[in-house]
Amino acid sequence: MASDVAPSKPVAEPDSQRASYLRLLWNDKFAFVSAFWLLLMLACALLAPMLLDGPATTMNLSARNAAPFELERGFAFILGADALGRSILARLAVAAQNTIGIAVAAVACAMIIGACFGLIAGYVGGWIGGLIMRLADIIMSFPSLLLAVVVLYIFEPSVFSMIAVLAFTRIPLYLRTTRAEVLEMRERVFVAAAKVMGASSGRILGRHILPLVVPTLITIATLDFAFVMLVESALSFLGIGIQPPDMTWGLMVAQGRNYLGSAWWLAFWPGLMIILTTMSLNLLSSWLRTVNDPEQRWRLEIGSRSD
Amino acid sequence: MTDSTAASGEHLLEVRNLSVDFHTTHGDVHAVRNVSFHLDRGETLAILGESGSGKSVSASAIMNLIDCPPGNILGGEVLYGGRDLLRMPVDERRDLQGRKIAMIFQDTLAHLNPVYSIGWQIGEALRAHGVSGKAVRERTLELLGRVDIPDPSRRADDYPHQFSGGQRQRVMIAMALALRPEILIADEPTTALDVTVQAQILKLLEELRTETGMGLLLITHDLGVVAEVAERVAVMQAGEIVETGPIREIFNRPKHAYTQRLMGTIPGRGALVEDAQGEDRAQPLFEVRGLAKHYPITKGMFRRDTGEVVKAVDGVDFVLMPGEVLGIVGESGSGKSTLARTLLKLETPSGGTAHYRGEDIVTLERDTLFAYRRKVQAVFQDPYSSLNPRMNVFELIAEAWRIHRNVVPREEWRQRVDDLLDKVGMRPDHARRYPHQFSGGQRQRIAIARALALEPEVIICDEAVSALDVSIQAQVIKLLADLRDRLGLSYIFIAHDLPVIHDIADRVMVMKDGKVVETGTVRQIFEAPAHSYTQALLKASPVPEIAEVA
Amino acid sequence: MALIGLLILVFFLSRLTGDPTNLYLPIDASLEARQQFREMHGFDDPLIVQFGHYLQDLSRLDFGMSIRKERPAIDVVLDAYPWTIRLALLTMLLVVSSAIVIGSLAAAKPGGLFDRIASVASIAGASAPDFWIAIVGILLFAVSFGWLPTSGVGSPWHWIMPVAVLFLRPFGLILQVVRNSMITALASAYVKTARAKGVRERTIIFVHALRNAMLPILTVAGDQAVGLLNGAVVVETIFGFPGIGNLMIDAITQRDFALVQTAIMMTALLIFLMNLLIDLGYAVLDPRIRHG
Repeated sequence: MASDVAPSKPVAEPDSQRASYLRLLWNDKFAFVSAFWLLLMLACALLAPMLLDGPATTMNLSARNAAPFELERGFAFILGADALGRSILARLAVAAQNTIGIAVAAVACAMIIGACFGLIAGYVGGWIGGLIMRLADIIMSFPSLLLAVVVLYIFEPSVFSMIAVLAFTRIPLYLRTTRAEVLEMRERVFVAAAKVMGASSGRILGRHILPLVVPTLITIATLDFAFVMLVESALSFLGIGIQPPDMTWGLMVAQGRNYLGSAWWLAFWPGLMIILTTMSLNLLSSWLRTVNDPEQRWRLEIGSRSD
Repeated sequence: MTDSTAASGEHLLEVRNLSVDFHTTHGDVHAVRNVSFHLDRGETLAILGESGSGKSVSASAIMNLIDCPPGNILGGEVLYGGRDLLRMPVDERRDLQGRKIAMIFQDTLAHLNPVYSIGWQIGEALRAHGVSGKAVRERTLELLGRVDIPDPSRRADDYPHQFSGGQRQRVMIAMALALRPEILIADEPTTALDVTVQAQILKLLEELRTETGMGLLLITHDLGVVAEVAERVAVMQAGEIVETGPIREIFNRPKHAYTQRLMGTIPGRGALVEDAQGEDRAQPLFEVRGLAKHYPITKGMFRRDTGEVVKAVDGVDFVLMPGEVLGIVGESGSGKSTLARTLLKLETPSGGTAHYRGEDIVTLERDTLFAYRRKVQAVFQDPYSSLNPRMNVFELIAEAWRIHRNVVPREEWRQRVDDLLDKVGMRPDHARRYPHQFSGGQRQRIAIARALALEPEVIICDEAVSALDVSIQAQVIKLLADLRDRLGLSYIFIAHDLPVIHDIADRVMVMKDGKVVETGTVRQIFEAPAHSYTQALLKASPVPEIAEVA
Repeated sequence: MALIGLLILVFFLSRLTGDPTNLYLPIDASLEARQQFREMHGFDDPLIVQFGHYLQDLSRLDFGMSIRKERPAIDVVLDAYPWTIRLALLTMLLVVSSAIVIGSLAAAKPGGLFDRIASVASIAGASAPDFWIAIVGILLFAVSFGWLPTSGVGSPWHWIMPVAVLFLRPFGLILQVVRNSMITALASAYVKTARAKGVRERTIIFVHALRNAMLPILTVAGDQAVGLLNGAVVVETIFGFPGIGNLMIDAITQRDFALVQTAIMMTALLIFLMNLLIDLGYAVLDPRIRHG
């Protein structure tokens, strides 16, 4: 009776899945370093404003544009000081909160709103679905950066309006992805099986379709997070984003721009922070894609053997 | 018959001690281990094996089609014309491919490049080996004509998606034979095709082999196909060849235990169910009259309605009695699956009536539909997509009770899941595992357990065993038959060929183009089919009957 | 339809940015002078009436006057656009050709040395903050070494830095898409058929796989091209490039309504044409879309 039982492969218990993810992450050194860097930035974003607010805002005219890599003023000035003699290191750490916070909030809002409408458009279809898609098309056809410029010029540029504008322009991405995935999932046989069982639409969406769409959305969000961060930085750089005394890395680059010839480090360090963070996000996203693709995953596992 | 060439030691193609590994997420898999076989001029050798037996990998190794990594050819030789293909310089080997050794595949839609016309693709086989100019087009049209594609000069400029499955396989054959190769490797060439089309393709291959004197290496899981065309058979199991011999030996006096078991599972050889008695007194479960499902045909970018319809199901009548198994047989496009989906209320019928225990199911309301859902369950074809990959077996089965709250009290769920798993021949500790950890046959058992969870009266099996290997097919059919006897279930059992139905159905309904062409008891259909289509279907279904004396 | 929605939105949003009177007249201008200025430009009518006038003018293809430049807005926009289009075309040409060649070669041997270098390059490219690269570029090549001019469009040398900076992100993104879709295409069944036919590896990559991989590449390349048509705002401002992005920022800060509206409408129109072109591209590449 049971001759087809017992596939020859060793069976991994679900409990050990998390451990195996960590092992795969360790195998890909790039991805591991990226994850570490992002955790560090997250820690900065959460803790630095409480711990380092003093050094980040205290002006010290004797240290104006102090050069980096000199330890005489203490470790806080290892990366130099800005035009008002404030520690760049401390300012970078504190600015992480706004930079990362805005991007996280914008991406999260866009993802949640986009996914909800995408689910409706994909599952319900009909004229409601059509209307939602047309709206998404309109948002997509806006010159989004310019629209952001206009909107930010009208409303006081603040953390909140920044998040709103960025989220709004990113909604269509999630909406379209979700809808496409739902349209595909809806035809899967296990959805038909659930219907035959008598499952309600809510249950089918929540239990059968959403859990399979979420990994795709997360992977896109990682990548998009990097993009949104760049847009925010660019807007702040142009002077229509976050305004002083608030700080973000983009704004710090803008402030340092005037001293390019004399004190390159003012604009250099925040730019480097942006690059490192967006690169980490990109690396991690491409790692996520490989891990979640059964046809590619072996590449990471093979790596573990040669190590 | 092949002994004379074999004795001289000069085979057309000889594979010696071939071993191939694959790296997978679950560790290295020994796909092929120490496999040796040979092929002579003008003969057909079948490599017979179930999925995962390594038969396709062996063929891919000959054609240099294994991706390394993840594949790894550990050792062995593939000898052609006295030279080892595995150790030949890349360019020389490429020159042999397509010119001396050619290959055709199973899934022709995927194996033909979707963005180039078929004429271009056939021509490429010629151009890759130095033919050029007008000769390419001429030979292409000639080949298309030879494989019976009507109107070659017009059709050559069409794209793969504009052809039917059978025609695409003909195109593949034309492409493979472009340079009159000495060896043709056919990897499951008819598996996705309807039985009547399959018979035509096999006949064409047979003709072409006699015509050109090439050696044909046929890779298949289908005993019927083997019986139809092969002279010698190599049986593969778990990466090894367990038995080789002339076809009559293998079919009539199998030596290896696996071959014996395989021969025992051939569908359509068991005893027919005797005609049931006294069914007339009971109330029928299903009573279907003139049921129809039409789809409007739309055209262009704006899905404009053309006013025409596709009649997927076109006036079907039948009844299903309690405890009865109704087999529905039809080829692709016959409407059998649409009929199943309509009965399952996944589609709304365009006309006709369908009653379940006297209640009209077309007009079911929310509450009555919910009650109907409990009584009528389904098992679908593809066991890989019919289970939600994110839910473990316990959740999959218990979901039925989350939806229908009054069936089983929550504290008994665990016990009931264990019982159900036991009923379908699985172990209680399987409950914590996820679908991807099971084989196809096991998944289908899980799907059956899920269908049983609501204690239904009818299970609609839509091609429930079509995707499974023959030996597994036999087990699942036996399981379904046992369950019917123990639980008093009724089935509507849908299949695309007759032999599968043979061992389980009480009555059979044959469908073609949305209409019922013949209905009768299983005995009537198999022993005295009245309609010419049923007769053709029976004739084309390769039930392996190898006479003792050929 | 999207155009109409955009029209309404832009009109009312830009009116919300404030009264241009204060910007254009000296602070000590008399009330009469202010009133006269408003009347001349029709700013004293209710918004809805202004919108009506605007629509009327539009139907005669009159886009209004730019207050700042004192010329028809459409002329100002049409002066700036060729620069942006040239910049976008040149950049996209370089991006797409180099991404396709490098990405295809990387996909031919996934995990190989070339692939790794290409992956790191593409990720670095996609991650680069353009404004930062631009000012570091100016610092190095213009200020320190004095090799390249800092701004303007006078000579071919002026184009090098803007194109190089614009190149990075689309290149990184498209390279990744090329690589991924080429890996998928090279793993597909028809490639096996071509190998069995004895087709050369180079033909398999650039004839069989590439054409199938082109659809996703086209989608992303289209998105990126649209992004460049939007006006490479950051790069144009930093390098003083006389394109539409630069113009638009000026127009907004100076509340030059007619100019903002015209510029955005033109951009939307171009994006619409661009999308039409992409759809045509799909049909050319894939017969299934052609017949669908």
